[in-house]
Amino acid sequence: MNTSINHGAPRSQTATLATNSVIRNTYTLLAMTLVFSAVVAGISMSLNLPHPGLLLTLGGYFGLLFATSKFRNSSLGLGFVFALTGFMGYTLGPMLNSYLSLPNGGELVMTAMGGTGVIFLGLSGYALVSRKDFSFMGGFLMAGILLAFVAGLAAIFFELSALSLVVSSMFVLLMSGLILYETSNIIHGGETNYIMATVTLFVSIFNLFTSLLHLLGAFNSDD
Amino acid sequence: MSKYQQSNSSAQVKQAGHITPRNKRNMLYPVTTLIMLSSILIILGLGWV
Repeated sequence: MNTSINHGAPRSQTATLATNSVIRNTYTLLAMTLVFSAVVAGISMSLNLPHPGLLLTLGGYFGLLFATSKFRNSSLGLGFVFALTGFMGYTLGPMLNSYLSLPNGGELVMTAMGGTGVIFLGLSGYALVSRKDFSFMGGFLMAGILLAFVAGLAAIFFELSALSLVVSSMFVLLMSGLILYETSNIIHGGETNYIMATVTLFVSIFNLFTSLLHLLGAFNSDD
Repeated sequence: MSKYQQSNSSAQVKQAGHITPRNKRNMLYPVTTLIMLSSILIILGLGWV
């Protein structure tokens, strides 16, 4: 389309405008999907819906992630983002119900929600204002998430509750790093698709919230 | 083929006036997949009280 762009030159005005547009669209879509997911989670909680189970959760998450990724350059991608985040909200419902049944459950959920909000806003704000390049964290994050994932599987299969707390702490740190990495990635033009940027940020926030909830729940229990 | 050439979004990136190295752009999709798996792990196992 525009053939006059000099690729060797510093970032042009066009590039800056494109980046600003990606940032604006990402945060708008992220806010909308968070609200939508919260509404679906609320419905799932109030109807006391059962957990969908391993196969349906795997199929739903990855089927919708694949569809979102496939249609990321069309308006259909927007529909799949809402389907994916809505489904994730639905799977969160039964878990929230189990926490709310605790004596101080409401307080736990609100603290985890507030903590997630503060961490996300703080880190995103830092990356946006400082404009630092956090791309050096990519390899570390990939290795860390892989390690946490394998350790998480071990914690579940061998029923090691101490290890599960370590894994949740790792996820809190890794998801915080991922928020910095992805925000910096958008600013520096590494992510030009706001649908995929939204999905990554949404899943980071989702994991941050559930990991914080697990940690708070464990440290608040009387056992 | 240049090491910067990509099948999907290279046209968009070129339109934006810069080229992002391959490792910076491609890093995120495997990460998204992995954190998605982690979400399932948390939802199905780790996250319960």
